[in-house]
Amino acid sequence: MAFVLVRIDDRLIHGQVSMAWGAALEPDRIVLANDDVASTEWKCDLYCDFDALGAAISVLSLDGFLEAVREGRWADERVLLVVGSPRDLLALLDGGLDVPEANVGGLHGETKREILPYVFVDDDDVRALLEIQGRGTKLTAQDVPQSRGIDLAPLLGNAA
Amino acid sequence: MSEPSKRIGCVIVAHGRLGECLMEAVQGIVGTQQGWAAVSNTDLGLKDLRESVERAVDGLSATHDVVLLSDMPGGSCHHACREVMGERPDLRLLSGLNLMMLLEFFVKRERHGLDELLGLVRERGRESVRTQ
Repeated sequence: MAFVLVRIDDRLIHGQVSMAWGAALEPDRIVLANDDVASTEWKCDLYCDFDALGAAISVLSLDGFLEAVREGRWADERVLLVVGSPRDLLALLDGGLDVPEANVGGLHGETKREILPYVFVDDDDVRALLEIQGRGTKLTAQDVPQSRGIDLAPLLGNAA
Repeated sequence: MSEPSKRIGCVIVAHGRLGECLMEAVQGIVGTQQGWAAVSNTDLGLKDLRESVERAVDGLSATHDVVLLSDMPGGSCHHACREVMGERPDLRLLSGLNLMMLLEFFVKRERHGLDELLGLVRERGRESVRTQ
C-alpha cells in the first residue's frame, strides 16, 4: 500500500475527497479509518456504496487499518487514506504508521477557532496537530487540489 | 406513520448556496412555497451539519411529513441526512436533487401520498436528463 494522500477531514469521505482528489490523484482505493463508521453496519454501507471514479472504497477501524498495513494488504495499490480527526491520525502514528506528510482538508465546529476558511480548531485539535508535527509529519492544509497548499506549522503556533 | 392531516414538506441539504438557489428558481417558476427549508454544508463538519438538518426537520415536522432532499450521493450532505434518519426512521430521503425534481415535488405534493410522490419525483429526475 502506497499512500497518494493521507488526509484529515471531519466530513470523512465526501465530494472533495472522492471527486476532486479522486480525479487528481486517481487512487486505486480510498480507505476510511474510523472507529464509529467501521462499527456501524449501515454507515459502512453508506460510505462504501458510492462509485468514486473507479476507486474501491474500504472502511476499517483504526486498529483494523494498522492490521491491514502490517499484513501487507493492498500491496500493489495506491491508497488515499482518510481519518476524521487529528487525534485519529495520532493514534495511527502511535500504532507505528509512517506518515511523512499529511493533508489537513477540513476541520469544523461552530465553537472552534478559525485558522483557515476550512480549518477550525479547539485546544484538543491543536495539541494533537502539534504532537503529529513533533513526530516528524509535515502538515499541509489544502481543501481541494486546485487550492494552494498551506504549511500549517506557523498557523498552529498562533492557535496554541 | 404519516397522518392524513399532515402536508408534505422538504428539507433540502446541499452544497454551498445550491439549496436556496434551487428554491429561488422553483418559486420563480411556480410561485411562493411553504413547508420547506434549505440547509447548506458550508463551514460545517458532519456533526454540526447533522444538527442543522435536525433543527430544520424539527421546524417542519409538527405540521409536515418531511422528505430530505440531498444533492449528491457520496457527499457530506447526503451522509448527514442518513445519520439523521438513523434517529428518525419516519424520514424519507431522495438524492441527486435537480430543479425538475424539485418542481415536480412542489406541484404534485398536494395530490399524492408520500410514497407515490417520491416515485414521481425520482422518475421526473431521471427522465429530465437527456442528450440531444
